[in-house]
Amino acid sequence: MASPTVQRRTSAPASQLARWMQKFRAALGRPLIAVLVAFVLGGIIIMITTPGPLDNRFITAVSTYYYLIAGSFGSLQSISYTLAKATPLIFAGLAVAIAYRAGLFNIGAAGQLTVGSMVAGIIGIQLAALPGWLLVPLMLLGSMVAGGIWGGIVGVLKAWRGAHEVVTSIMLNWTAFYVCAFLVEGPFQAPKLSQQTLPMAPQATIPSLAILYNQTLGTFLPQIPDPAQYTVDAGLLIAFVAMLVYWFITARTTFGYELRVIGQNPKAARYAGISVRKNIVMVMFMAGAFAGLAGAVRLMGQAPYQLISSAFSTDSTGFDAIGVALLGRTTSIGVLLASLLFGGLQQAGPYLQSYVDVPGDIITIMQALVLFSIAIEYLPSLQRFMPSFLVKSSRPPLVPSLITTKPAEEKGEADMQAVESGHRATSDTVEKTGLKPTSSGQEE
Amino acid sequence: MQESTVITRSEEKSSPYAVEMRDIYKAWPGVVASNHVNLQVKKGEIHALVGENGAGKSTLMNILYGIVKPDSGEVLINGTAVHISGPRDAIRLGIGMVHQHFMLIPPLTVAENIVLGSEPGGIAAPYDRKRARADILALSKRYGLPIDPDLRIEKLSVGQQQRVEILKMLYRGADILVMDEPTGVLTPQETDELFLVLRDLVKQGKTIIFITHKLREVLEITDAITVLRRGQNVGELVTKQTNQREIARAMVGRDVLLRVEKTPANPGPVVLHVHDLEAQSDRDLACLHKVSLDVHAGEILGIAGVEGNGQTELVEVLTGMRKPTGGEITMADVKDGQAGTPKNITTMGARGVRVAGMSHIPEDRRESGLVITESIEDNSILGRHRWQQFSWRGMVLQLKNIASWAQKLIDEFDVRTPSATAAMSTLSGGNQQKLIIARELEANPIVLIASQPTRGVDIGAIEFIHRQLIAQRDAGKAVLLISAELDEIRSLSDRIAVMYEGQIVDIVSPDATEEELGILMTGGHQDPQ
Ligand SMILES: Nc1ncnc2c1ncn2[C@@H]1O[C@H](COP(=O)(O)OP(=O)(O)OP(=O)(O)O)[C@@H](O)[C@H]1O
Ligand SMILES: [Mg+2]
Repeated sequence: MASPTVQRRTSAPASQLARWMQKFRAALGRPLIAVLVAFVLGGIIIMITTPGPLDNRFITAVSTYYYLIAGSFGSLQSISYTLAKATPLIFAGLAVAIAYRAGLFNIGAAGQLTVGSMVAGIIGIQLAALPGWLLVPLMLLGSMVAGGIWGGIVGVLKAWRGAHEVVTSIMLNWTAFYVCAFLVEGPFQAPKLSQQTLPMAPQATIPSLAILYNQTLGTFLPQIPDPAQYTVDAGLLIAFVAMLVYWFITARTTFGYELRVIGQNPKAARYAGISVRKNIVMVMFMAGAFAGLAGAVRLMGQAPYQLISSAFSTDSTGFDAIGVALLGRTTSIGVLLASLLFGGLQQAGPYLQSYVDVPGDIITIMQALVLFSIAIEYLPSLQRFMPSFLVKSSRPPLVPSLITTKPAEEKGEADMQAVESGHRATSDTVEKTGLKPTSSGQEE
Repeated sequence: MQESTVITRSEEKSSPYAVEMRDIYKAWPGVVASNHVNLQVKKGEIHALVGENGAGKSTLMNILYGIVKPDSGEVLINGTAVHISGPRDAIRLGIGMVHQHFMLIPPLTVAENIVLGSEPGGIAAPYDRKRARADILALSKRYGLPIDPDLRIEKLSVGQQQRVEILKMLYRGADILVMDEPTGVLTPQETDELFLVLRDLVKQGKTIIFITHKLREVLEITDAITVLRRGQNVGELVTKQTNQREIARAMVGRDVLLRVEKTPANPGPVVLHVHDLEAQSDRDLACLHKVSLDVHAGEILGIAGVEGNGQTELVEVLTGMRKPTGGEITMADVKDGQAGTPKNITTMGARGVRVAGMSHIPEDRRESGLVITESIEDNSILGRHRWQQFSWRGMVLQLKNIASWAQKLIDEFDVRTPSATAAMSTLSGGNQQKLIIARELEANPIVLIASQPTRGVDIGAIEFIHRQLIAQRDAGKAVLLISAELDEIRSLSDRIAVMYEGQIVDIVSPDATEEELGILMTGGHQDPQ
């Protein structure tokens, strides 16, 4: 059945390295630029807002970045803080990312996270008598189901009523915040306290990573001294598992394939007989489950191990997750890297005030700038200002103006004669391809 | 007016060319799309740009329009070397382009689409609806392109949408009009109308670059022809002094069979049986009225009809994409010339009918047959991704199998691409179509439904696809062919069903004359013309 009609094309095979580079550039180039642009703009903002002469301002900006890096990744301890901050962001980032794969904008991660943590907390309090090996998985599972249902509602409304997911998920966010705040301040209120539940029992928590290490691998490998100073908890390991699951679902399953089709071309989904409704509900359930885990891991892994009613609506994790997912281009590695960035910023931010007298809010501004610069890349007219090496390969400049006049007499006339002879064959290319130019004399 | 004439005169001496592209080089990863290409278009002519799928026609025109940046080369407009770094520059230079795939915004009105980007009043002033309307009406009168400026694009037929694209170019003051496969999506009637318009535009001093795969059109409307093959110039011809065969040979590099060769059909038992089918259109109007047909194994049943008479909906119902409101569809497997027990596939849905053995080449391939952002591999299993060979228990993708399947499609159907992992969007228009055809034919169907299978593909590929359809027929498949090209229907079909207003008005032999078919297609009355 081979095609006899057209010969195989002979194209120079792109070298493996070049292709790899290209993949790398496509995946990471733009996010990196977005971050750089945000940092430069952030620096400018710092320079504008700090008092003093210009060189002082410059020094402030530079030292701000120094303390940002030192404060987030400068020591093992700060790295562990950063990782602790990044862990819930990874889960929540995945929650936004997987929905985005199907073309859905899951702005409801915050609400899904809230109900997830609430249900995990309820299980932890009510079943505190259970042993840890049973209780912890139960709490995690509970949070996934609760978050999943919360996300699933959005999916159902979208699939069967056509309600836009952004609207419904914002409404469900507030529903979650208030219902959970009511539960915390009502039925599950800790005695003598007004705004929080009892702390989780020790067996209902996720151990710190360093302590876990000392208890397991540390028994035959060197121990980590003073493990209590490293706060990152084993939830990070669960986040890695979640990343793996996410990667597997999106890249290796027919479900992930269907999500891509739906997200990129719903008409093709119809053509292929892919049920859009079913998949929307399923993906929103999964998104909710990821977000629910974020809430549970946060509750179980980090102090104060209790639910606080006022924290639900002020916790920004669910919204930062949108930036994480977009900056990470909805890949699991990307989400990890973006979570580290955002986590690092949030970790180091509060110290800026005391070290360089820059308000910690600069962190929020930078996160916003990162988002802006990602958004900008989707505006084609602004793409032209992107550094050229990201957009295309280099090329010799064309004559750079609309006004320059460059008469083309000689060539024009020569070609005119060719036209008159009835045939404008371009002899050089003909030689190159080894093909005879067709001429009017050849027919029949 | 006066001034511009003067300028044109004085420049005429220096350059007779409205557009001159010199030594254009453009490489995509793995493909050289333009390999030192030259193009010279004289003022006031209609210039054909022809070549196989992937020859680099669209790329060259995108370079002219500033969408694609060449690696090297020179562009001269009216003899002046210019630097075009974006469509805005191109528009300023009087270049307008109608793309292979329309670039209109469906929910906006005709007027809004036309003035978009150059609204009267500019950015500062509010959008002046009245003036936009008046401008457009004046324009449409001047160029003989009647249109209602207040209609929404989504309500327009394809031909009308194209008219809007043309008006949009003219509104922006284009003198050089680039049309990338404008007739690919038009009905023959719409094509005739378009040609009238183009002739008129040339009379008014416009220069037109016209890309098409239909040689008949090249001969009918153009003045000169540039032929590209694999990114290189292979010939420049003067239309008056050439013929179809010669152009075809230049394009493909060998003689092309412009006529379909086939032996008489050897039809077997009925495979696809359609009984009293009824369906509603998207607007909930009945659009199929008691349609009944039988397609036998080993025959091609053609469906002729003016577009919009229910063919699209019929295909959608047959392929499980649209729920019928009445009637029944059954399909039977054939073994050793004997039909098996017919299976009722009426409500199976698109996935079900594929499993039952149906293949479907959709008419709007780019819109529904492909996911343009995803890889060729992903697209090669669209609709069959849960099949055993592509996924374990319908859940986990078998990437190795998918990759080798995609490679097989690429090899056997000569889809031109550097690799099977390339995104579908990097393929030329015709190669995208070839992949769909490959996917649907290689699935070894029992019934093949081919809707406009050769739309937008080059003559070499048309010949190939025609042969493939005949080969499918000869292999005992039941083929249902829907095409707006009467020639195609007549030369391929063994029987022709004519559709008019949602009904099959008659089934005739392919020997019926074009006139006879024309009368049936317009409802049995004498043709008004
Ligand atoms: N954005 C892109 N990235 C990579 N390769 C591309 C891109 N656009 C086009 N190509 C490649 O360049 C070559 C020329 O494509 P082009 O679209 O110009 O062909 P064409 O002559 O218009 O064909 P058709 O008749 O099928 O529309 C093809 O091999 C195509 O795969
Ligand atoms: Mg093209």
